Amino acid sequence: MTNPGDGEPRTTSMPPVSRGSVYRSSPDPDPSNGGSANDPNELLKRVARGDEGAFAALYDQLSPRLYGLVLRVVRDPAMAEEVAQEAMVEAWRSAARFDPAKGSAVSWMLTIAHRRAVDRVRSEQAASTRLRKVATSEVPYDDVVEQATTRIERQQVRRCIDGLTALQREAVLLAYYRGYTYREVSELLDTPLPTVKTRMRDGLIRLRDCLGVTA
Amino acid sequence: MTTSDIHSLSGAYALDAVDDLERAAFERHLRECDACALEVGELRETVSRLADTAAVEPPPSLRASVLDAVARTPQAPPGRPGRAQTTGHAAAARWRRFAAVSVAAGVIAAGAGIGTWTVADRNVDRAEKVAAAAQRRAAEIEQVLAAPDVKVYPMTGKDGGTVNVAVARSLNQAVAVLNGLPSPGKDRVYQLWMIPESGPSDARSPGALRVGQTTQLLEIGNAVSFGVTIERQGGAQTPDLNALVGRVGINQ
Repeated sequence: MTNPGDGEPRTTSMPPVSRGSVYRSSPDPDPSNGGSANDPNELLKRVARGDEGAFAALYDQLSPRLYGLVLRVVRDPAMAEEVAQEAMVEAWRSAARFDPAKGSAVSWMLTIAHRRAVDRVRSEQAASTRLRKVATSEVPYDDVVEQATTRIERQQVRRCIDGLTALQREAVLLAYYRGYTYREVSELLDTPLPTVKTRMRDGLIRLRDCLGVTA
Repeated sequence: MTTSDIHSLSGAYALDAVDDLERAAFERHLRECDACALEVGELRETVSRLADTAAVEPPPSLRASVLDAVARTPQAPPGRPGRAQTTGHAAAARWRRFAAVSVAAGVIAAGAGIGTWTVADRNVDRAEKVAAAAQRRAAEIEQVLAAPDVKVYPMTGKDGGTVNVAVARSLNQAVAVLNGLPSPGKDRVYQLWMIPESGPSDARSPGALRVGQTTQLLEIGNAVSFGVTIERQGGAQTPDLNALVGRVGINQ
């Protein structure tokens, strides 16, 4: 499928986040290039030895994704800042426990941040309130389209999201960007629990294959 | 939960779309299933790529405050977070370890000042305290959820929602996890009770839940059942049975 997303009609449907979507112009380091000084895995190993400079470099590479992810889940910029900071400090504290054999540094840090964001929104509001809210809020996928830029990685992710079935896409994105449990997703989409569980799994597997992710 | 049930949870787990007890159960499963661990690793990597589309430049002030906090925060050594080594489970997955830290961190953070903090209150001290307290609590909660004799008793609230109570008699401790309970009402709070044979008048409670708190550690003692009530702000000494949300036996 070739869908570079040029002339995407949906991109004008909502104003951009007021903070602006300025992305760093420098490309992400290639995760396959191993020993480079800017490779996040190498940086995190140095962080584990107490290297604050390496942590600053990691911050510079990762903060737009980490903050952006947290912001999307908690939605409130002040709270997003707080949660992002807690996640960063936790990553610093526990850097020695990062094991590259288990996954990439980027994934490790984003997992910490996502968990914190999700824990925060889940404890903030009774589930019933959250469910009511989403009914009147926009579909997260529109945000995805909205934020998409010309960067190749983003286009690839977007193209792969486009390759999911509607139910897979909604189940995955409601969970990831809104912090819903699969039970809540099941209720929201009026779909049986086992189906939601399965769609989350096979949706992610399809995304994995499309993105060519390996552990 | 059957093996195939739990296996199908890998997607929801990778998306953080499970509750604390399901997470603990799944992580126990992960320790015994290498193929599952590999799959979860790949799904986690996949999920992280979704963050590519969410990237937003953070406020410039965040960089300085993070780096300042980092400069003042000691690092934890490799290995298990701050508690004595326990026998067994030596091969417990790292995922599980840091996931547990994150759970408790979320719980602590939620209780530390929901509704009261302002932008001016956000500071490095808080982040440090949260991180340190989280580690202590995480260890306790993780220990209960990982106990070999842990049993889970689900309780349904009368107005919806569930409370799952994970009981580890070998540790004399239980962890209650609230899920989707409605708001207790203005100036009201939820309070969890451990109730002995002699009845609710002798019930014990660690105190009312804070706003937003969804997990609580409880000592089991001579309790035969677990109950939840709605009490006035500040909590009560004995449970108000007229405001009983639910009760479940924990002795079978």
